[in-house]
Amino acid sequence: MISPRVHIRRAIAGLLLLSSGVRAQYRVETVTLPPAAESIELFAVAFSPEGDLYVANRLGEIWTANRNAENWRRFAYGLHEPLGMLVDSSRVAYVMQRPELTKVEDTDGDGIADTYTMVADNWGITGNYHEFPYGLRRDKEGNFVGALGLSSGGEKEYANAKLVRGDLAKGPVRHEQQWSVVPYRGWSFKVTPNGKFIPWAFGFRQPAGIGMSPDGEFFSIDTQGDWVASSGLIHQQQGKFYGHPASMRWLPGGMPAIASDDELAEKKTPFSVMLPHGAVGISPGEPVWDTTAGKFGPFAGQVFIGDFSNLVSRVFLEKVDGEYQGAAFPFLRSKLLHMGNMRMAFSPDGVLYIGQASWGSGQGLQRIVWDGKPPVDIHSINLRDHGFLVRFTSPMNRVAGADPRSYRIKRFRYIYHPQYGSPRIDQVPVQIRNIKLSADGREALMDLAEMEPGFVYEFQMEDLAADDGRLLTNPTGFYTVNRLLNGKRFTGPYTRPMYTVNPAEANQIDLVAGKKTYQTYCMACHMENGRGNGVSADFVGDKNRLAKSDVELIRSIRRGFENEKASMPPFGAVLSESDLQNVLAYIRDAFDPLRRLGR
Amino acid sequence: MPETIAFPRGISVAHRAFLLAAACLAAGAVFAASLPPTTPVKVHRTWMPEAYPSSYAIGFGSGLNFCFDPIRGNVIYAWAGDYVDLSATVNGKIPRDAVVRGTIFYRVLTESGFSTGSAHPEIRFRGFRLKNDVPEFEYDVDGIRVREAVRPSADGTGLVREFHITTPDRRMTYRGAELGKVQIESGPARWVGDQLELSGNSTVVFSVAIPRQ
Repeated sequence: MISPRVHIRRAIAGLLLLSSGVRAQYRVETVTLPPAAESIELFAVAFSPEGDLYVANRLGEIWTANRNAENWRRFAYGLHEPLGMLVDSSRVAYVMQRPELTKVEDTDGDGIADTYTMVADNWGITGNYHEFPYGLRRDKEGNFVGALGLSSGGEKEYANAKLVRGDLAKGPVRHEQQWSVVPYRGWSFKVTPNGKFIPWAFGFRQPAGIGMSPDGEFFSIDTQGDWVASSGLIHQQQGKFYGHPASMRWLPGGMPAIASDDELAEKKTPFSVMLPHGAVGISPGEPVWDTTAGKFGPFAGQVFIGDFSNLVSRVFLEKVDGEYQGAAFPFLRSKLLHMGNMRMAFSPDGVLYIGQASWGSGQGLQRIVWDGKPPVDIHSINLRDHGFLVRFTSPMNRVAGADPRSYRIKRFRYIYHPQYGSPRIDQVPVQIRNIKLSADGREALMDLAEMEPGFVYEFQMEDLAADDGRLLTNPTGFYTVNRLLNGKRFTGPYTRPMYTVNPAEANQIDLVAGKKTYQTYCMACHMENGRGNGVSADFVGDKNRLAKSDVELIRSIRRGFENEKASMPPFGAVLSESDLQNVLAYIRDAFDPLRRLGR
Repeated sequence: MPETIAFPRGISVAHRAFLLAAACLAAGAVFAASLPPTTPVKVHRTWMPEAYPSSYAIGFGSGLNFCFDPIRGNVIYAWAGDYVDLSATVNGKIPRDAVVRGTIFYRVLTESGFSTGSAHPEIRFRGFRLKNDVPEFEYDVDGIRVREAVRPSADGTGLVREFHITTPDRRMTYRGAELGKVQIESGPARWVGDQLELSGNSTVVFSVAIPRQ
């Protein structure tokens, strides 16, 4: 239960944060890129061992500067969409570009790369725009790791395909919308230092960010879409299947015979941590580990993940029964953070640099700087035998922190199916039986009435405040329970809900629920004020947008669209009929003055 | 100093605008000193018309330009005039081919003219080098490394492709589309019909002119 006073305090705090562009204790700074750069859509960002900053842009240049992003000079050029980069020294970098993994070298020491050597190119390319190569990291053995995105476009795109590198296989394998028409699309890979290509794991859609833990373990994200219920962080294990079937055609024996989606689901390894769509981003980018030893605040060892929207999220990982799982949190959502936060790197000084590109709606280089003061935030959530241990970065108020009413917990899961994304299903509130706040106010140990594997547990803690009265900057967390501590795992059903929904409840228009849906799924692009982000629809300024009928607008939300200038994913598989009705009602109420006046 | 746009609380909008403008001016002053590209040779790897994905557009400052297709292992066309318009390759989400901005004077949409006797020589791109404004490509034909440098001709009227090949214990042949313009610079090479034959276990350097018609 949230008191009106808390609502008002939270609203005021939120307005202050949004208007100032800061998340308490963290500020966003925009870095000016060199005017001579051919593009400021940044596809890669990295620091050299000497601490110099390197960025790669969409038109294939690499520029370098000192650790404070000063004194820029062009280091290399002539690369095709370099989406990942490792810098070994001031003279050698490795780049994942569309056609290949390339060693970029300044052999004569004049500060400009002169030699570009192909290290690996063992995958197909058709020229399809969605065939992004992702990387680049090294594992403990010195192998490069990366992954390959699927193609889009369907039959029309490949009907007359001729100029293709690799064997061209036309058509889908199992109702998918993104295809793997040339080798190893939808696979991750390793490349040994001497250039041997090793297909590693498969079942990916758009693994748009590759990460390497400080222990040298290979992670990636995958992105919500067909066969991918919601985005997530994945611990990549050799030979494992992660859910999208398109890549299976490149298995040594070809596409295996699979009788049903349930059978396919049983072969799937779950994502380590789900990033619930909307609440924790819409399309995640590169995961980077906080290895700053405290220079970036109290989250050392945790994972930061940029997002296509104006969000950076955070993930806490732990091993349960030998496998990684953990909790995801929004970390920083700011109007001053550009769109397209797909590439990130920590500077030697503990500043998080973000390279941005988003097909025209956001671009540039920004950085997030900690002011050195402790934030008020959820630090982590650990699984326990009968519940969870929630840790905070500051001492919580002893009364509120020990009061179960300060915490709202529910659990939900997703459907595994060929459609684009999944609605939350089997969502139920979970009762807190007992809660104990530690003496220092930093840990809340809670026992829950039920613990079920296969569910995401959502925590809402809007009522909590620190000893000094400051509210939690971010009161939300999502723990993915793939396994319980006793090793128990979810065994299905994967492709359908277990609980039924009361249709009478589904038909009630609920503006509050509509607003929540808008904030979760729509606001990242259409913005809080409905005016859009410059690419997506402006409900307020463009009078034609909401002049359409309810039927037309519901159809647009359900089916989505894509053209050269903008796109919106179809939400038909993500939102229920009542969600659609509620969110449209909210959009009309908030942004359509004619409807609001009842005309 | 880089522009900072995280303002302290309590600062008015007008004050913010002033601070932002000042920061931009300061940043501009710093980056006016940024080092511009030092080479006149333009290089982009992109979507080129009639080429495999990720082909090279190379432009010399003299107005001579060409497209090298790494999958074919070949210069597939050359043109005079301006370079390429790349805006279609970065316009929104779905890229289109770059647009050639000049008059094409050479166009051969085939694979490399090298062969070791196999019906379908296997071509694999190995890399690119740019030394003293001369682009040089490396690729293998059936496992034999070919180094190809491309530069404007001495009189500036066309392009010259210079090949440098060290053969293993097997011979190699070249049948280009410009056979009348081949010049053997060094090494054991001879004409056999319309093919230039390079002996095994040897190093051969020869050039092929692409004159502007």
